[in-house]
Amino acid sequence: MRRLVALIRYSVYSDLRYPAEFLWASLNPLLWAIPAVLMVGVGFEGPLVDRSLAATYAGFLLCGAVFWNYVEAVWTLCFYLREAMVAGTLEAIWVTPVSRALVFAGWSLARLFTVSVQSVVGLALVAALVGWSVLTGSAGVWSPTAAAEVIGIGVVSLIASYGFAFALAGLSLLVKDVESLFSLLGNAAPLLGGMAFTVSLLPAPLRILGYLFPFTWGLDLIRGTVFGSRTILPWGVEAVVCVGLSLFWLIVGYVALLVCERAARYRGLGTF
Amino acid sequence: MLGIARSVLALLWKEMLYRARYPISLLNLAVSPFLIVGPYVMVAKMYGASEEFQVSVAVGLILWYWLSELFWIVGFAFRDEMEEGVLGILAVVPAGLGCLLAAKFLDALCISSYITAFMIIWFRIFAVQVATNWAQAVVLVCSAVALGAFSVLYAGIVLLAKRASAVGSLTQQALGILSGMTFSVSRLPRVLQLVAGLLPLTYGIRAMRTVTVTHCLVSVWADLLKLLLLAAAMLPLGVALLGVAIRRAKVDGTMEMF
Repeated sequence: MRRLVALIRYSVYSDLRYPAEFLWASLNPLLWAIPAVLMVGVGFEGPLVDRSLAATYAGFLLCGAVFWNYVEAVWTLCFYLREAMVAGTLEAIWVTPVSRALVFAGWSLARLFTVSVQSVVGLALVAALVGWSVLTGSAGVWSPTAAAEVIGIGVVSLIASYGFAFALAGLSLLVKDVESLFSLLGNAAPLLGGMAFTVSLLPAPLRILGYLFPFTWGLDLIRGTVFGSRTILPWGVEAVVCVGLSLFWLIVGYVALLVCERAARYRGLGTF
Repeated sequence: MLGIARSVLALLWKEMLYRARYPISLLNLAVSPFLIVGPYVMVAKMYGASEEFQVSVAVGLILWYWLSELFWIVGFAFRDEMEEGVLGILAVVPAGLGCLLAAKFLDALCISSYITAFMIIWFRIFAVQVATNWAQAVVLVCSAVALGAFSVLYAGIVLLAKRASAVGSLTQQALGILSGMTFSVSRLPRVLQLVAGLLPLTYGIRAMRTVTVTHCLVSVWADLLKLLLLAAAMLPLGVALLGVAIRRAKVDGTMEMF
């Protein structure tokens, strides 16, 4: 436990070392939401929708942005890994008496902590500026069941996220310079997962790709609970699909990490 | 003059070789920009916006992406070389740092054109028909000159602050919002309209939207003139700030370190 706390502290200190970067990450969801909200609420000749609908859309978008911030927070553990490779400290970290899982847990939990703080700031800013509050949502006051549903689906989505993170970490070890690939995936995934708009608007091939992501289902389920909107499949069926896909990706990701690490050991872990 | 041109082209060639070395980054540039801006147009579609509305948003976002590329490439021109440990060497070669900045600007023009071509293809795949014409190319070049001058100012800030990615992202997003990349600036409150009037991106976006419909430069001459005037005003400021930053780096001995 002490080792885990030490790792989390080290990562949080690194994140907080540059306050401007931290501030940017807090404002990021809001700054991405503003142009979309102004587009529908201000438009060219006039607004596309009325004020209350624009506020609801702000909530819809922010819900997606916060969800993706959490998902990507776990993915960033492969960036920590890469930073350690660049700094030449990866082999030293690997041989310390701390298990691999604990190192990954430390890196990702630190990011999840930072993202939680940033999400609260982002949600508070939207509540203050647009008038949509996550505490009430559009489906009325949150019940304990609704809160449990959102937390449960969130946790399941994070499990899937670890699967992706393991696979990406393995790829980092093997290919070394994968920043462009990460960037591509990081930009494609929110679009395919319906962060800003419903996946039904995607062309058929991309929609099918989106359905392979557990996050698409996770976000749809959370929005179904928060906004009372109709989910793609009946809620219970969709929850089973989400859990099944999450476990599938977790196993695939972990196996990919083991295979890639074994291959990378022959080529050298800490060098390019 | 010929020597300077050859130096600039040699430095541009170096940038091109870097890019060709990593084909995955070219693939990323062909796909990622649309993934960033595309959702806004899809949202407009989701709320039943007209085709004209969707094209206006798409055009605004394309131009905002030009700002973004110029910001990262020209703005980080010296930071990248500093990170690689070659800024000091480049500062003493006869070509000088001005040539490096010019090469980075040309590199940004090439990359932005490449991104724009793919963005238009992607928009068409998503059934948003962005028409193209020669007048748009003229507007893009004029906008690039003004936005490039703005980015030189940012290059000075980057060199002074060392780590300014967050400030860069924040500034780009704020400039995009104030310049009306997804809506008409004329619908903003008066005070914000005045601020928008000081930004080159506002005139670039307005001119692009107009020529996309009219195919004619005559209707946007005033905006083009404003773009060039803003460039003329901002470039000396940027060069002066950059001069201060380089002098400070030389005094502090941080040309090649942090």
